[in-house]
Amino acid sequence: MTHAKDVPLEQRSDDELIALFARYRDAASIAERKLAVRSWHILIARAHERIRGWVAAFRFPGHPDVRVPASDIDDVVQQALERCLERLVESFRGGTAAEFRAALKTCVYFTCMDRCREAMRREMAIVGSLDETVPAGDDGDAQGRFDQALARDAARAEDDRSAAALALHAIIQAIDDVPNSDMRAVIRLTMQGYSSREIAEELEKTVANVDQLRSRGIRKLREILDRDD
Amino acid sequence: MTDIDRLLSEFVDAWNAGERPRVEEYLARAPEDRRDELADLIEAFLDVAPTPDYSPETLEELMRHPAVLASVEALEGRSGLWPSLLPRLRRRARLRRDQVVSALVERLGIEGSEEKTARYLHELETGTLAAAGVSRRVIEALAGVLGASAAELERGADFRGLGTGGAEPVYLRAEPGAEPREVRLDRPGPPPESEWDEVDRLFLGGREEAGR
Repeated sequence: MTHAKDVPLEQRSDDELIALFARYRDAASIAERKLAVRSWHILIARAHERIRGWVAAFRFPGHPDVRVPASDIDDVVQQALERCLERLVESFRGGTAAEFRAALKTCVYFTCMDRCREAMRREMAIVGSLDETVPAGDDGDAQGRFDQALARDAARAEDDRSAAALALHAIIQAIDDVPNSDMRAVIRLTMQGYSSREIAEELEKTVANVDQLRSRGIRKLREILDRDD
Repeated sequence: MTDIDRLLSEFVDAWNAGERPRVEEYLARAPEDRRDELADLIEAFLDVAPTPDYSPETLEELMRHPAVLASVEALEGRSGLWPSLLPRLRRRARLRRDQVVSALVERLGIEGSEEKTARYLHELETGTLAAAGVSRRVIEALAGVLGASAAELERGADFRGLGTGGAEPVYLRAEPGAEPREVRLDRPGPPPESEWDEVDRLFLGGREEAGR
């Protein structure tokens, strides 16, 4: 991919920034490594709101009442970014923005899991109900059994939401697989950045109708992506 | 059409317009028994949503967000993840830096070294001191003060950034009438090992405190 040399980094696409980051992160010259840092800076800035949204929407698998408290969201976002640095700076080999996004999601997901698990352990210890929550047995203490139960829940949920499902080609294919043509049209236009009002005008529908098709379409998309994973 | 359809659509519209909608605000507006459903839908949308075409002003704001800046400082510095990790843990523990310094000095038994310890801590939080030089004793003491695990701190110290962090800027007083300008000077390096005191050994001597 070629670019005019004077195109500022801030105007480059995520795919281009990822390519620059991967290309220059191990460069010998500091100037080239600074380019990698700058690329990372823009990528993470653009991803910040998505990461924050994931954290705010997170529900612990099997325990939907367990979530990140609103007062802790920004702290967990920062912790997730630390995890992204740890996991991705050296090892990320993916080439596309969608793959990068999927890798970010995995980091965010496990950060939220760890934080909620920590909070649950503290609460259980305070309430003194750890032994009641997990059946007694010969296979170790209540704390260990509790952690194992949580880990099983987590593994099941992660199987359902594998990062591979988020790759762009999977999303495009999934949209094509949405059975209802109106729903497909609404989702396509949504992904292109159209507002509900603009979609309603384009498809000659009411806004309420578009809202309904959007919700169902997003649910359907999720089902298809989870099924195909 | 349900309330959550409208709420989801409002969120999607705000997202696409680059308005940075707060998920928790939308969830708070949903009926309590539908909140988890809305959370799931918003999460599903965020999984696949295009990145908004943020205005230059919004992108600049995002690039200056403290969490984003901390991530970059860690990436370009020499202190592992500590430029992000230490201030974050400090905030969680509701401690100012001077309080961390006092507690650290007490735990390490280096009373009277508050100023030097504060300087080293500042350098670790700003990415200008190599975290690889910090001793295990300091790591364990810091973990105790901050209510964190020593393993987490040590792992954070081991992260290798890209090492592009430059010298800190130093500002010269301008002559009257002259235009102010920034001049960067390299800060003085650490003392030679032969001149180390105990504090230097703790922060420069490596995990096993070389020179002890």
